[in-house]
Amino acid sequence: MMRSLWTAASGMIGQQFNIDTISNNLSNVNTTGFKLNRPDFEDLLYQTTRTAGTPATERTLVPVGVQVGHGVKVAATQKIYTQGSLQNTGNISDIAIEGEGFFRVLTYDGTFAYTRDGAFKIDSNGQVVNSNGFRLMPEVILPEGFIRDSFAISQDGRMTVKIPGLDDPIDIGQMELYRFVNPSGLQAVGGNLLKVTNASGDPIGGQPGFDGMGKTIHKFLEMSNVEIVKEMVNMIVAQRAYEFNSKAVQTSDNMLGIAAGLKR
Amino acid sequence: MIRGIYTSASGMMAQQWRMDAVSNNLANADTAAYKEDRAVHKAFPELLLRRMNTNVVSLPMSGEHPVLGSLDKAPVVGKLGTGVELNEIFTVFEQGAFKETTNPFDMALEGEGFFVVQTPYGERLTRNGSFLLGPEGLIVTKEGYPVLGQNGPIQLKLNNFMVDEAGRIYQNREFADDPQRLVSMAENEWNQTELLDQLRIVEVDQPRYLQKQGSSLYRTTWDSGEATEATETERAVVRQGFLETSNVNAVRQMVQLIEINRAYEANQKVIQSHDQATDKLINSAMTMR
Repeated sequence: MMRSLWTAASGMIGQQFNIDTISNNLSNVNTTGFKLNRPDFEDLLYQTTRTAGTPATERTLVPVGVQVGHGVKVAATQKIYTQGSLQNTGNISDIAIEGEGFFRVLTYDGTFAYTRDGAFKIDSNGQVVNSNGFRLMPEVILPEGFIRDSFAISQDGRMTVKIPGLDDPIDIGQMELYRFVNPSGLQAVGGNLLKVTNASGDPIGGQPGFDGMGKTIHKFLEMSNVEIVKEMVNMIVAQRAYEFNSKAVQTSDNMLGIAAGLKR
Repeated sequence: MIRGIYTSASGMMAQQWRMDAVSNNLANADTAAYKEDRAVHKAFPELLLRRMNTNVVSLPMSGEHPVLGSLDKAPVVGKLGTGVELNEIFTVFEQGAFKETTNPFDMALEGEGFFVVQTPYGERLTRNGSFLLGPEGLIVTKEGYPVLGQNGPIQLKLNNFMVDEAGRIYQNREFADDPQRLVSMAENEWNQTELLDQLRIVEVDQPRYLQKQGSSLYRTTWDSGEATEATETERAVVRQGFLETSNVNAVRQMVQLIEINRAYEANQKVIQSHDQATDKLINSAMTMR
């Protein structure tokens, strides 16, 4: 009916999406290893109603075409992988990554998922699992009867633990981290997990602390990298933009009312 | 029928076009590097009115003196405007404000100029420097179109590139070759820094005549002229880690909304007046009892 009505509506929908993203960032302000999302907007296609360069008269050309836009769309939401601050928990199964890289876990359907959430647990079999019970890969199994407080992980991912009867700690494995050419292309699937996509590229594994991999910091957790102030400012902008667009909808509606008022 | 009705109808239609442009500006108030559209109106061609079927014969005037030797059977009454139409919607390339993002793939342009993007339809221009790293390690736009440097698409690695104000991209040679070797911010000592490429920044003679393509892309047209490489002195400054915000001024758009609404309303009143006058003529001036 009226183009501007839909154009302004697309603006409102876009800002609503913006608020959705901000809300999600804010609600995850305390989520371990959470990386904030940022929506990116782009203008929608333009309708050309008169093409520039077409003849206006015998000798002259139309100098400027008439193009009118159709509003806005969400082009992408990217995760911003800046380092979150580290929090000392003292818990023996907590691991934080300082720098780049992801832990790999095996999900219930047999596929791998990647996470920066290092709040692992030790289950009844002595296996290191995440909060959902997904195993850390490569698998880490602590020997039977191990001494809890002796479990240690070095910055380059070597894991050692003591067992009763032996003086020296025994080596129980090497932790691996994984990186991606384009980590923004990973797909968030909830539960602090990310899945590989065509856009992210294949995982590249490596030892922590070497070849560009981050260090594993034992007994620490990485906090969310959401900055409240920034999100608040974004929220103000989004709310006002929403309001402006609603005014455009109102004006369009008003104009339609006026047009309808032509016929008494 | 009644000329005034069509004249004011053209006024209403023209206001609707302006409304479309304003709505699009407001919808893109938060789009990176969006440039405001402005609608300009122009008067319809004026009509020269002449009196026809008259008994009076006058001599045509040349200046103040009548010209003898010819007769004007339809003397000129005067000129009559026939309304308004949309002339053009043009883009205002004012600089937008900068927003710091600290994302190394975000680049803002300060000054006139455009980045060049390789699309399947040919090279397109953009000022939206919110780029990503593609799976092959190319810098791409949100649509996946590679951003072009002097030597074509730019292949680099996260944490292993820096862009200076002239758009020159530097990388550390040490980590550049092996695609399996990713780099972290902390380990990169920049001991073998080399110039990788320079971002292409182009200018057009008449940016106002560029055609918007959606997705923040522009196309050159016959009127805008071909895109030419910006000279060393006039190159727009590239700011890495910043985004250019939309240059839409919300206050101005709001004022325009009010103005449009009222102009639309005024035109409607004119139509109603014409309608009422006609109504009087038909139903009241000559009543048959």
